[in-house]
Amino acid sequence: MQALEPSAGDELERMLARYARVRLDPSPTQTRRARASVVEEAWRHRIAGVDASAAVPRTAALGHGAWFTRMPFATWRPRRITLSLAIAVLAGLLIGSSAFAASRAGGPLYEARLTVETLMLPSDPAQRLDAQLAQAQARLADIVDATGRGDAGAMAAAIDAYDQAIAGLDSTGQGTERARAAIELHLSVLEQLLAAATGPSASGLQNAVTHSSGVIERFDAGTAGPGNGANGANGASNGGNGGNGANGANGTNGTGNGTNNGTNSGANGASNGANGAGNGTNNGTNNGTNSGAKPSSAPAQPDRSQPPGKLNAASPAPAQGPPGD
Amino acid sequence: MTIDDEEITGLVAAAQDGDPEAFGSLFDHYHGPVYRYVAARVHRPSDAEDLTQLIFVKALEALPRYEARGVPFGGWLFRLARNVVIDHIRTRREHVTLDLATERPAPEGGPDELAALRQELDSVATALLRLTPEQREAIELRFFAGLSAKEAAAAMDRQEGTVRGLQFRGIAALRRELGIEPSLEERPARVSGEDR
Repeated sequence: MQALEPSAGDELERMLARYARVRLDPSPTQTRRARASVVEEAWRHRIAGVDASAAVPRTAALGHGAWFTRMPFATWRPRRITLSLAIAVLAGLLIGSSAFAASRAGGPLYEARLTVETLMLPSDPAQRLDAQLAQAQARLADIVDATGRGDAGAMAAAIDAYDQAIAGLDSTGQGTERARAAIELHLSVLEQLLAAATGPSASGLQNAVTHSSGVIERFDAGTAGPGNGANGANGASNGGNGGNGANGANGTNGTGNGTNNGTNSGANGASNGANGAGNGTNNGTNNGTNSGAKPSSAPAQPDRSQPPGKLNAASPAPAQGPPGD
Repeated sequence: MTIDDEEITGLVAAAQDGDPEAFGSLFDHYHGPVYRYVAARVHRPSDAEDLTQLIFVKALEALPRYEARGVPFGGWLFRLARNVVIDHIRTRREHVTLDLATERPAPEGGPDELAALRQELDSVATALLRLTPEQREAIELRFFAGLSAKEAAAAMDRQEGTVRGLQFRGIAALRRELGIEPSLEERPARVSGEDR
């Protein structure tokens, strides 16, 4: 369509362009700062959205069906998830404030903050699980925050803290479904971060992904009955914690290959197998009623070498010329 | 980064599905224009930075409710930006002289060139202030934010022709203020082949 286009003329256009460039353009620092903050907010929305949508349908997917809906906790379960989420998001928001700057991931007070949080965990198993989930989600928010800031040190510290937080989750008591759903959500977030990550941060995120997968397998083993060899997935983790067995997981991992010795109190079979795509050896001693061998239980991780195609997020803001002909 | 309308539509859809990186790409595309528009209206860089960030957070929250329906995403985003700026001006009622505005590093040159540049920028700022608020907004959206007439119309909640008229009169007023004579072919308007 042809339209009458009022033209400013070359000289006025040049003057306006100079004015915009010198007086109005954001600095690169402002742009980076704003981007980190906005994308972090987008991740928080993502986490909140996924968690809310994952809460209810999971009951049907797990085959509990009508039985589950009759249970007394069927009504408060989503609310508790929402509460946990709200606490975690609040914690995440607090991370952004200057008062918490020193206790941010990688900061001098971060370890102290984690210790205090761990010491304050309630002793009641149900409350403790909720608090642990909130703690794990807060560590996930730390990872997202560190990723947004491009701070490799903070990211490593946050990933370590996240691994520790999920390693302590009890897979045998009540509320394991909720915990499993939460860790599945974490896994999806970590996988998306991993898809966009490069260099050392990618390897740290890969470890976190592996650990989350391992925890999910541990939960599956805890709920699926005997003979599952629940510990297989953790063989693939490199340099992390074993995170296996209901209590006191100990993992000794080498570089690239992990040997994991876990003691489980659940009704699991003794599993001895090569796990994690041939990377790990897992020896579990179980006090259960069954024993069996599970040759390979580590989930195949998707290929991370080709992140999904997307526009270059690091590109600078476009230089849009003034309208005209 | 330059992306076309089709890519923007795809990014908006992905962002609505909860893809944070898609929203990050939209941010990359629109941050500069939004910041320039806001900075032109509030003058103080710290406010411009805070408000721009607020605009994108509000856009993130409102994105699930966005439906194209003839309103381009840019127009929708700038309408949101306009409302945020109006709210800010209403509540703050600040009067900051343009001298307080922080300047980006100017092109290299000697003291004389820099003085001349500063004088020119001050003249432009003064000329802009003498426009009517609507003319100034049309100029800001079209020249500083780089919006199309359609997007600017959506942002201002006006007809496209009205925005073109405001732009035309704004340009004429700026020329008078700055002492720029239009060339013969630019008088009074010219036909453009594209509908920007």
